Amino acid sequence: MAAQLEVLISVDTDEPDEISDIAARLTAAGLDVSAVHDAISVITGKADENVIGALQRVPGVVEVERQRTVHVAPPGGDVQ
Amino acid sequence: MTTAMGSATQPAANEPGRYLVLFADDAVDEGARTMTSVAGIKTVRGGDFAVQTHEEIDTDIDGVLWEDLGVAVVSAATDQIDALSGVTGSRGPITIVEPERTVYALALAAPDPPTTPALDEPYTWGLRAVHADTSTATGAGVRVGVLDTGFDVDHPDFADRTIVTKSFVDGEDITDVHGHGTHVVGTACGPRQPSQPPGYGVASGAEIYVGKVLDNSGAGTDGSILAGIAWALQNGCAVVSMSLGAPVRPGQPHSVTFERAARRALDKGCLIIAAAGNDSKRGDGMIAPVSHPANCPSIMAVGAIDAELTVADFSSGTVDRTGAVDVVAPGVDVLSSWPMPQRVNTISGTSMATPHVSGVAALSAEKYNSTGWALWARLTQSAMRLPLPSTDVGAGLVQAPE
Repeated sequence: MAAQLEVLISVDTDEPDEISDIAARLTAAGLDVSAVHDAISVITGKADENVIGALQRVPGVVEVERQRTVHVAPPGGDVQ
Repeated sequence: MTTAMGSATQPAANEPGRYLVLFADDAVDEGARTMTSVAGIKTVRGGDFAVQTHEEIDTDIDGVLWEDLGVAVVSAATDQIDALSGVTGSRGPITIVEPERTVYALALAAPDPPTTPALDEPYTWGLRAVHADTSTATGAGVRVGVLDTGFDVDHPDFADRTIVTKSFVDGEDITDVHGHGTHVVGTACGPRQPSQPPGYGVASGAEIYVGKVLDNSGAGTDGSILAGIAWALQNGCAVVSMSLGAPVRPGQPHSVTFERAARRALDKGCLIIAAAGNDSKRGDGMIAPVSHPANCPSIMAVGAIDAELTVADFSSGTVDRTGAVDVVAPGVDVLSSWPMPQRVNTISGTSMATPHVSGVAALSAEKYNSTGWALWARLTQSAMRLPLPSTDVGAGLVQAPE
């Protein structure tokens, strides 16, 4: 089985009905949807590495990106 | 450029020097263990945006390790480095060890604080620098979202404030175990007249929306940050303050998803302001690019200056065609709130500069009834120009409306 990736998907609409349709198509294409954010036209979820190309081709999808992790320093940490 | 390690800079036998340790891909944990077992070198995780002051530094720690970069910067004696060099190579977790060219020591205290001690002043130097101390605006009626490590909701300096909270971190409530979030909220929206001076909050009348998107260790994912942005937008926040980020390499493109989300937010009257990053070592001539997600053109990127209005050594700069530093604000020796019982703390970083801008944005939103792109224009148009490269300071030092 291919590795599971956490992904961010930017879509071309902020209409809730249209985003729901895109989310359904993404699910059919292999995305395990984590969240749908209508207001900022973003869907997040998990998918196998080998279906990323298929997700990218779903109508309404602008971009599929891997999630990053951000950090702030630990409370006793020193960055410099 | 190759590193010059002539006799003038070579540490004397067994004198501690500073070194960069590069780890093999995906071997950071193993590499850290190897450093400890082979050479007795201990590190803490860095990678970020708050620079702790010289209090509370664990003296057993020899350096800082940036997991995302696969690099550690350590202070070590020559015999320790010799031991470590013996295990570097293509098969092990440590790829290379090289001397760091640097002009300052780990956690070096400022030799002469440029300002009188903060406790003697009615306001922090930061509030005075952005003229929040004399502004008639307080951010009343403006909602400010702060996405960070949470907040100390029982902090006495916020007893009479409207505070709405939500955690986007699985298994953790809003409680700020870390401290970073409470500090950032304090600068953006804390009191100008707390029970004990100095006043440290810019938009002292704003409504506070705290989204916990970073866990108690200070780590978070893009997914939780986007969920926090969507929540703040749905709650009508005119300003979203994000003192967080991940380092990027020069030339690395910005996130299309964050850029489009930020544009949507601006179109709906919500300005996102983020820390430019602390990855520069200007004393060594190294200027790092603006971090993700502040490098998105439609997110306002904030660099840090000190009380003498010079660019902070760590402050990231404009390196690429996009990914500009848009404005700067006070980010060195910034006093603000901290989880009780400590009450306040003084720390540095572009994390501390960012909420100064967010607070000023709230004051401008109130004063001019402007949001979104108009608010962005107000902030840059009114910023005080500085005689420094625009690549470092953008439009300059943000200024509160009168």
